[in-house]
Amino acid sequence: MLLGPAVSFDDVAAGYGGHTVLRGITWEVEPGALVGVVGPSGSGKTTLIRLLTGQAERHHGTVRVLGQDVGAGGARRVGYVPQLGTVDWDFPLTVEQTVLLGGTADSAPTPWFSRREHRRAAELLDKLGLADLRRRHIRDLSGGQQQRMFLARAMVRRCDVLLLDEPTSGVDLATRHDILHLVGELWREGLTVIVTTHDLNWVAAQLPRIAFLNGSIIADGTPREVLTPDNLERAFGARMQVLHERGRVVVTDEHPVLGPHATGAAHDGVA
Amino acid sequence: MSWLADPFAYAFFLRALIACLVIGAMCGAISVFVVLRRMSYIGHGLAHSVLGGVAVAVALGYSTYLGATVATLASALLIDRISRRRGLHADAAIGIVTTALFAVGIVVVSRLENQRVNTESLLFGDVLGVTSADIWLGLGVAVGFATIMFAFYKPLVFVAFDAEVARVHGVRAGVMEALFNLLTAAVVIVSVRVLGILLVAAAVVIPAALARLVTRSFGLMLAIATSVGLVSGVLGLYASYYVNVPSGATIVLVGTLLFGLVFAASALLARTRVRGARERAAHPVAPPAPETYPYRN
Ligand SMILES: Nc1ncnc2c1ncn2[C@@H]1O[C@H](COP(=O)(O)OP(=O)(O)OP(=O)(O)O)[C@@H](O)[C@H]1O
Ligand SMILES: [Mg+2]
Repeated sequence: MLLGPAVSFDDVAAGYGGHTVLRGITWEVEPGALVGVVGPSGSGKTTLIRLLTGQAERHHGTVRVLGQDVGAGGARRVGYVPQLGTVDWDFPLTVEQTVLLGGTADSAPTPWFSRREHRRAAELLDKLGLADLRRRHIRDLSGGQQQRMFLARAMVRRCDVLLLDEPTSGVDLATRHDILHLVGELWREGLTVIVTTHDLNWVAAQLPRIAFLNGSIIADGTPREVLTPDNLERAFGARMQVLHERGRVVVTDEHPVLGPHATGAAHDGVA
Repeated sequence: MSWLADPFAYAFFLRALIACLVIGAMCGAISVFVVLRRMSYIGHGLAHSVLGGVAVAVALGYSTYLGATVATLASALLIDRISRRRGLHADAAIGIVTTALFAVGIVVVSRLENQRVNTESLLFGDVLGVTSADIWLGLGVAVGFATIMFAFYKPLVFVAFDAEVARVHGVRAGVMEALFNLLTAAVVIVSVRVLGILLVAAAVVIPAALARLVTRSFGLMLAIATSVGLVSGVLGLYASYYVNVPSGATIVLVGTLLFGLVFAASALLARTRVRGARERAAHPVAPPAPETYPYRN
């Protein structure tokens, strides 16, 4: 049984090539939580995730995953789904092979995977609705299918903490719904899940807890607590309106620029 | 079929054949990783550094293999270091490190008296010069190569595909990268004798490039590339025997020819497919004729 937080940052600063991107990050996530890290493009979401996987350049402070100092090495039980776009889609792998590779570290030193490992991969592919596509080449998938394939790869090695970097960007409505549904299911099974997004209404507002990030953690709590005009302005640099609709929080543009309700404010300041 | 058997009248031919088989297979297998990691110039680079190593070793009176090993391992290490620098990629690193060692080789060779280094056979390959010691070394390297490939196949593939996720998933990515460099260096060292410094590069690229044209499966690609390496090794050796030119050149030319054939065939196939689709779009199959009344009134 794990005592203490699943993930903890203590006064962390990080960046690239000596240039600081994140600073003063002191943040904890308790075991079994589902947290969204929300912020505009370039706010450091990926950098925060990469601190947890030990890939980012840390300038100050300590980062712990499951009580273990990141960077000290050792087998951490972390599943990771990187932001799409860094993948070599021409690599000769099928969907099933890609998922199986996720379990390499625990697998026997043979060129093949065991029957048990194949079963586990098949189970996951089935659960993610990819069973029929398992023999497809990875390039022949849609964006949402690719995203689900990497989710399966992250889960094939049983993990306690799942890190998802923008799993819902660039996918259609139905796929976004499926992915969120799946993430919720994993969370209910006891996994600690950290997911990044810049989608306020369709993702952030539906998560039990969110943290606003823009260089540092600006706010942290339930969507109702965090999604306020002040916080939004500090995180996104634009004034937005927050509506409370039938128990849901909805963020909208305060001054629509286009469309029938446009105020024209963005053009000439004439309201 | 006496042309197949005739060359065996010479004692060197059997040795040469074994060398070509072993080298062809290893070059073919490693080429898959070389090409997929987009490091096609690594063979070119490591082979060039061999000249520096061999020349210095001869000048100092050490074994040429020792010189070649030190030089290739050192350049593999330096390439790795330099290419980790932000803004510099492997191609730049290869260009710097190995050309410098090649230049060292040229300086030392031209200062050595009475041609103690046979540059021609080093540059173009010399299958006649294969000794039994070379064969044993090649076989030893092949056994090590096959063992490592067997035991570390999955992590090597994972790291080649996605090193970052592999590392997070508990794979020792750094170790796998070092292992890949070590394997490539070993293959280059044992290949230089037969293929020559200037021609090794093609042998660790062509088989995988050809295989990539015909399959999108990693395992199949590995099998095809290894076979292409074997076939070009053997055919190239025979060609070299009958035409009396350096074996390195004929082996590479056979590989290039095979690649050219497959490339042309796959281009033709792709074009036929597109034409088929266009024709089907232009002349849609007539929809089933509407029910006509059997009789008019
Ligand atoms: N490899 C890198 N080298 C240098 N700077 C980088 C690198 N990666 C990111 N940065 C910089 O760090 C800052 C934070 O980047 P990061 O990728 O963490 O943002 P993000 O919130 O994930 O953005 P997005 O929503 O676009 O994915 C950006 O200003 C970016 O320019
Ligand atoms: Mg990002």
